[in-house]
Amino acid sequence: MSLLSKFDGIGLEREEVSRIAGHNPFNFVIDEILSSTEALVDGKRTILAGTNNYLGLTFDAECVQAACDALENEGTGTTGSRMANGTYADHLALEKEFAEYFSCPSAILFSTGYMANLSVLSTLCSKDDLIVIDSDCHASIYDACRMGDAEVIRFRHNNAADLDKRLNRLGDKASSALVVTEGIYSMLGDQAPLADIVEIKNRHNAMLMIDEAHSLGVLGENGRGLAEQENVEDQIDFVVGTFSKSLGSIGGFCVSRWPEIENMRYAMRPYIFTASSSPAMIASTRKALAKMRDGKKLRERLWDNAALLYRGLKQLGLTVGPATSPVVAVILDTGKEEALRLWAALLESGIYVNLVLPPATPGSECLLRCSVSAAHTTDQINAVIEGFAQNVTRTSLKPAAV
Amino acid sequence: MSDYSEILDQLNELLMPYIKADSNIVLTENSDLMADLGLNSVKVMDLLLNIEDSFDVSIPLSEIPDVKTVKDFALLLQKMTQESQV
Repeated sequence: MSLLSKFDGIGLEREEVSRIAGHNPFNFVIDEILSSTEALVDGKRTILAGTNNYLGLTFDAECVQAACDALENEGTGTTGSRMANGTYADHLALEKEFAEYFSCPSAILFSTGYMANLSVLSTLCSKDDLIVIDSDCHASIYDACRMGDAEVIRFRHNNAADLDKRLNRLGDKASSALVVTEGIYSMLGDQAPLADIVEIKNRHNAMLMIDEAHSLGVLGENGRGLAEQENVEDQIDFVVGTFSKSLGSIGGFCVSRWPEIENMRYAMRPYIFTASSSPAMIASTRKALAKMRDGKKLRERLWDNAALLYRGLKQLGLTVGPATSPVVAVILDTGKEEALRLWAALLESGIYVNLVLPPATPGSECLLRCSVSAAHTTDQINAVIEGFAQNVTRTSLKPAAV
Repeated sequence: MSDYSEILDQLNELLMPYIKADSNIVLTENSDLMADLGLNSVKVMDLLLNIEDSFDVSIPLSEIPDVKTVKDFALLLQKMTQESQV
């Protein structure tokens, strides 16, 4: 009992959340998925506006077919580590395609995006090294730091001057530091000041890793992310990312301009001691990668939808993130109860968005986080805006000043 | 700067804005940052960045779990400011 009693508080919190919202938002169930933008929830057709499915490729006919073919021809799973029996020709083919896409000598695949961060950060930086992370970095980056032996310090979110100050403080030790940033931050949709960060890390002779989880397929002419958009790809030491957003499957990757990562591959425990991705995952990801690379039209559609939603919610007087982005976060300073009520009211109106409560949010406000897809129709985006318009009034929400 | 009492004074000043004006919390060396001052994990992380600025140090994340009270914090800052002077 004593081991489990530490979770009693969570139990009370769950009860309270369910009482206010009618549902438990953290136990949300999709009864039937209908497309990349719609599902049946409690028997109701619901627009999905919080799935990170930026290019809408989860139901792409060719990606689905590729996965079906692999499933039939190669079976349901590899049942082994990449270092044992879990490397099939298609795993290597996808690694080669990632390396070519990023013009890098090498790429490594992981079974999830979380494990990509866990593997790279916990292995690359050891006892006498330093990791300098943006304070708003994803939990997988924080967890990776805890798993490794390096000293970890934070700089203020998206504040290049603060990063510079902290690297200055390190003196000569800055040359054994890895700076970690993200392309698009998952909660507010804001982008890192990457050109400034690159200049600073070069001046201090440090290395730089960027997590393009939410910017892959979204930013850059060819969808390679923020580094491509900012034209600094040749200055980035490590790029990590996930398959579970724009690429519509599950998995992660790391590419690097340093060929030595081929040696690091054999030292990464989360890479070694887990089963490799299933053939179906790899096959659909290969197809999706090709579509993403050539997906200029998808990106245009995505950004048109993002602009429409961002503008629409802002015009309602809601506080949204700092700039137009496929992640459109409505920031509520009215407390948890109001956030829960509004989330539930939106669901009742057939709209699903993510409810994010502190401490998962960057500040102490609650978020109703929307993410936009290229597959959303204009009517669907308008329906999301209309849903907010109606329910914000109904729940007497007083939005913060914009 | 490495004088403990000076550090404690400076730290107390930085902690004051995090204490609600209408609360009757009295700040002592033994005050528990989370339990007594009612700081949640988000507030603690925010507070840390301010304190780092003020003392011109970067506190490694691994040191944070050991900091429970105002005194723990002051001792850590004393150690770090001494190190940065060496």
